[in-house]
Amino acid sequence: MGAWAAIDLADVNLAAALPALSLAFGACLLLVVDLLLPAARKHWTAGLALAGLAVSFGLTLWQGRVVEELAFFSLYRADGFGALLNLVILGAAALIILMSVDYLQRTGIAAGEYYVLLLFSVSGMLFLTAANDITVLFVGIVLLSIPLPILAAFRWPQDAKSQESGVKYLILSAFSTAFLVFGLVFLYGGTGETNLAAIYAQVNERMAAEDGSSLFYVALGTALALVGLGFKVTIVPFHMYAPDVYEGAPTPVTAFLSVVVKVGAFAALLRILREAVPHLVLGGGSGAASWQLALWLLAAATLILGNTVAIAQRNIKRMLAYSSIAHAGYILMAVAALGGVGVVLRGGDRVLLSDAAMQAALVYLAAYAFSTLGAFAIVMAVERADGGGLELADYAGLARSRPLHAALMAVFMLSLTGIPLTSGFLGKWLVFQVTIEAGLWPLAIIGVLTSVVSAYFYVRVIVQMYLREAPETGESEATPGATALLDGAAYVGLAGTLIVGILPTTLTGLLPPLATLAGL
Amino acid sequence: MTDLHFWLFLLVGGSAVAAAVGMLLLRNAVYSALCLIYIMGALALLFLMLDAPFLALVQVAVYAGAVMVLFLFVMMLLGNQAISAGEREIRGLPIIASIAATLFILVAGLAIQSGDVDSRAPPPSPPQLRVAQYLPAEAAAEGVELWIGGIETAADFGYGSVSAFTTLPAGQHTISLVAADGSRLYEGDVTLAAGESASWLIYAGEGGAPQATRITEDGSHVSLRESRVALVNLSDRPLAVYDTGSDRELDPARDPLWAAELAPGGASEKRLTERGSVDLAFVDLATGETMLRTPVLELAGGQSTLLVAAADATGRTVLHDHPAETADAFGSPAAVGHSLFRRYLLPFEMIGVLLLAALVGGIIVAQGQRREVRRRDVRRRVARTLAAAIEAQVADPAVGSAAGETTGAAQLPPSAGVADGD
Amino acid sequence: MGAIQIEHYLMLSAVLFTLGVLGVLLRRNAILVFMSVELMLNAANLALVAFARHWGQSDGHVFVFFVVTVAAAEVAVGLALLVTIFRTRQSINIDELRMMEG
Repeated sequence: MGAWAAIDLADVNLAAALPALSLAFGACLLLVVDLLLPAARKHWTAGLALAGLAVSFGLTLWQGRVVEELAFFSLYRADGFGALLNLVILGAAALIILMSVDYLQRTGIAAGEYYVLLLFSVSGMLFLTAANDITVLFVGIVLLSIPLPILAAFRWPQDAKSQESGVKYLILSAFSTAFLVFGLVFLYGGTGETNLAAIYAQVNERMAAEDGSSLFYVALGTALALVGLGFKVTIVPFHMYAPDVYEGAPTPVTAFLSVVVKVGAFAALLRILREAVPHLVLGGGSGAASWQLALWLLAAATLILGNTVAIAQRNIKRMLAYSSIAHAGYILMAVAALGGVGVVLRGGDRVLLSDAAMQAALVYLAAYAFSTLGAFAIVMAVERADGGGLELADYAGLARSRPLHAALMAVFMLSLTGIPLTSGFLGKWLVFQVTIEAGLWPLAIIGVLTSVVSAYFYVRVIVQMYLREAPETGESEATPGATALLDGAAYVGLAGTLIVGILPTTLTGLLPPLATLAGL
Repeated sequence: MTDLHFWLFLLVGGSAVAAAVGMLLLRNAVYSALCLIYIMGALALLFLMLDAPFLALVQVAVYAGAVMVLFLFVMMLLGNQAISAGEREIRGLPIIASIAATLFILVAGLAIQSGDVDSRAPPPSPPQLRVAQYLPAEAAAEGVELWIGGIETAADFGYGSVSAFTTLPAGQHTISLVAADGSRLYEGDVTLAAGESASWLIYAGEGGAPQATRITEDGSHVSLRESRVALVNLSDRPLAVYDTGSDRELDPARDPLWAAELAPGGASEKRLTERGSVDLAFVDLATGETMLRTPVLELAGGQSTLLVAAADATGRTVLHDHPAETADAFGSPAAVGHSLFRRYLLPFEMIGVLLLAALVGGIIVAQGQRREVRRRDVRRRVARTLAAAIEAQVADPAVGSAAGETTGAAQLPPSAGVADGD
Repeated sequence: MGAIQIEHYLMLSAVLFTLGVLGVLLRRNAILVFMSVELMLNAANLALVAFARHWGQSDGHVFVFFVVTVAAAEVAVGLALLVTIFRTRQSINIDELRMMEG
């Protein structure tokens, strides 16, 4: 009701939505400021972008989401899950901006709009992590996706591959958005609600009433949304253009796509699966959710394909592309476990299996972010301005010429494999544990086996660096791209990887308060 | 009429599918674009058939009229020949794709056929309640508090006040009026079910004891040319209501009768009248005496009004009117607009940011070569050009750093080339 | 609704959507691929309007509004990129985007 009644500002609750709103506003502001900056101070744009991210980060921490709040007529949900993901996204984006500054200068593509577009994309993700409605989910995904083809094509006209990767990503992005929309349409159609919580209520009602037939729409919608989001998180068989896109895009953009976009898209997937259809069982009953089967098949396919094809890659960016596809598979294992029912023990407390799976996925995402960003920092250091330096052969003998960088890269490669004492190990441990607890034994076995396989191509890099001789070329500079900022970003990645890995209790010890923060 | 609907759907839908197949198979890109435009037009017709006139308009204006025009513009810009140049089919892919497509249509068809969604009712909205009080007692004049379900909803709820519609959970709620001195003037229970909207009118009944009448509100759409009115009699005698018209003279024989007999505490059926002014007379059925003459009432279009005749502190019967909003017509621009600025405000604003991002992105791509400009480069370029021009004129190697100096006077080594470049 | 149920509109929507998917997978011309994506989005819009009519709510209409806007934004960005590709290579055939080995 209320054709002429004024909006009740309490329903809008701007304060709760500040983290996302401030960043979106900041991005628009940055656009104007970048325009007005005198030419001598154009490099301030990057710093201002960082400041924008810091403001949003601070707002997220300050709100300290233990209690959940709704904003914008319950379309926006500020809760611990969203806050945690926000922190990961903002931190990773800040690292990427740090890594981008010198890279852009060096390759001659520096432009203020790069940072503006990055901020737009990140603001889309912040809305995604707080989405409580399918419209917000949809617009968030699109806001996340629209700047990305531009960013991927940023090295054009210097590098034609960049332009190609932009077009390929564009087609991929548009195609996947259409699938997502169609899926969300059926979610609305089956229940008559756009609000995720209301959809959940309707689904439960119909399941209780043994009304399986109308649940077909919801199931179809979930499947289509899964396909759409599957393209964005690059799982098999939706990974079509991903390696090409990752290879052709400027390396900081590849890092962004591979880490931050993945986190954002997984946030959307987790929101849909956890808020709207967590216990959707076609045919009634109270077993595992019906989508669990589809997810674990997809996870298995992703793990197998990602890890095996990576072996054949000689280009380090392509190798990292397939590696990131494989890691999406590990995270998908935890998402599959999300559909299980039951209670597990965590540090003496009984928690729901689905909550434990959520925890595992979040920790894995954070751990993966540290290691992958660090690895990309080293890749950018070794990469030459003309686009060379991206082959495995270019890493030969790096340990002799640049011991520090080689050591950093070695740690990151070990972490991505999942060697103990690194964050990657903690992530894999939690994911495997929750997968086994969910009863998905075949998937867990595939996960372990493919981890072993992945050691081959990760350790191969280490072998190149430490056991091969650098070829006698005229290249004097082994790490032409290494600058203070880039090294700093690599050290941050190292810190994250080691601290989380060696002292897992810091994270899991942080986890109870973080767990409270996550509302788990 | 339903037959027409059926054939129209077949015609429009079938031609849309044919156009889609055509779009896929035609080699000429412009022809494909025309097919797509036809499909959008067909969809606009289908939207009209689905009671969404505003969206049909948006489809034609924005989608067919802007987006497709952009496509055609780009096609013309790049040249149709170049674009429609031969595509080689990848062997095997069409078969795989066709099989996958057939499977999908089968699955979707099965899902849709078994959906049996047709007989569903929309999820009911939570109930709403508003309270009005007409207690003529002294104590009810000022400083009264209204409490609904244990929450203070209104303060200073004097005679004739009406609260705004409050959304409440379904179930039983207690309404109480508390006087300024703390005494309880009235207490009653109301049970609300989902989807209901009610007005709770508190008045003085027999012997001055507070009573309440419940009027069920109907918030469904009323067109702007009409107004929905319900008459409520809260006095102590049965009344009849006439519309005296512009002459303001009561003539029971000829004036239209709005309500034949309104019992004390009773309400009439809701009636739709044309919007405009009315002039009502409430007549005591027993005595024929006119209890109440209303001033000229302006009934606004698209509104639902409650006209209440109640006794005030002095014993006279006074008229109160309480308008309520009604829902927008389904599919009208008003409905979409109200949603956009109310419930869907957040995605609406996000779309604004999205359009800005797309705009910035499009411009960056189109510009291509735009990079950071450093002023030093500009100066150097100018200096170089100048030096080259001088050199050409004088046929002597130009001077080094001092641009603008004439060459004749300077004694510089002839090997000094152009002004130091990069 | 008479002889036409909502299901018929949904079937039409599914058919159009599938044709759009086929277009994306089969056609090699980048602009055609884009137009096929537009067809997919239109099919989703049809399903949305049908559902909105079924539930009697205008929430579905608002969602359609958003989808149309998003489609317009995507087309703007996409065509800008396509124009640049054409300027570089004189062709927008996807098969010729083979600089990186798939």
